Amino acid sequence: MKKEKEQPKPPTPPSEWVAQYSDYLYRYALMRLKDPINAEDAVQETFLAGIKGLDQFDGRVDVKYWLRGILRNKIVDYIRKNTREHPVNNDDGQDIVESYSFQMFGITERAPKPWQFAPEREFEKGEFWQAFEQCLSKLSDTMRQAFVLKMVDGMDSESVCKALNIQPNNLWVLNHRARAQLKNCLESNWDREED
Amino acid sequence: MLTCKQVSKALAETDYQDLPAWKRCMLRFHVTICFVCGKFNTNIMLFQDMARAFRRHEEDAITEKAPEQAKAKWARTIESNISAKDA
Repeated sequence: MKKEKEQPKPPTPPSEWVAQYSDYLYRYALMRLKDPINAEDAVQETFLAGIKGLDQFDGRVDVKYWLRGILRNKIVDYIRKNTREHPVNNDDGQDIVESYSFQMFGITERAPKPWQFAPEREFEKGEFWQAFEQCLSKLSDTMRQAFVLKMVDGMDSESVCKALNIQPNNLWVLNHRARAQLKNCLESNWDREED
Repeated sequence: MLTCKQVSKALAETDYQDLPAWKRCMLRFHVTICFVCGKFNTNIMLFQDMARAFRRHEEDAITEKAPEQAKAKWARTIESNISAKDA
């Protein structure tokens, strides 16, 4: 049977971008940059780059995700610039990566403490993600950015290391610490809300 | 059979859901029975599940709106740039 080729949808005109996508893009930027002014600037630059590059838009993805792709690059540029000005201490956590269990098994401890609740049961609850974001915002900037770029945005380790100007081992340590702190924070915040 | 180090390395590089099915099965099997790295790496997989679920939540839920002032500024910028491009 002949399959009909799907026609790409025409892109949403830029005059409607603010109404349709600005809340989403702003929130996306704010969650990653934390600073409202920088988030506003990043969205502004995204819209400008979007208008310039609209001729190259091929309709394979929705304009929302196309603009998000541009915004993500802007965010990474911002982070890169910022980490060049305030470099991260790459020696921090050396003891972890030199430890026997890391060298042998790629882990730091055999048995981390079990969770006090099962987080996977809470994934459908909006309040859980509020607690998650609050906990995320309590992490140091570098730790938060390492976790978000690597785990949430799924960037490859090499690009994250370049953006943060760090070594691969350091990225591992940052993510390890981020997980531990998030777990502690979620356990103390979420239990209270549940009981 | 995968070693602990191979499991840890794979999880440090990739979300386990993006691995080929056979590798995902081997990895699951390893962390379920392994007394050395099982609990540690299961916790990493849980965080990968959490990050994926957060990504879905982030797409659907608008919990914070952009300030109206910023929206007005963006609208002006877009308008002036479209007219500049058309001219």
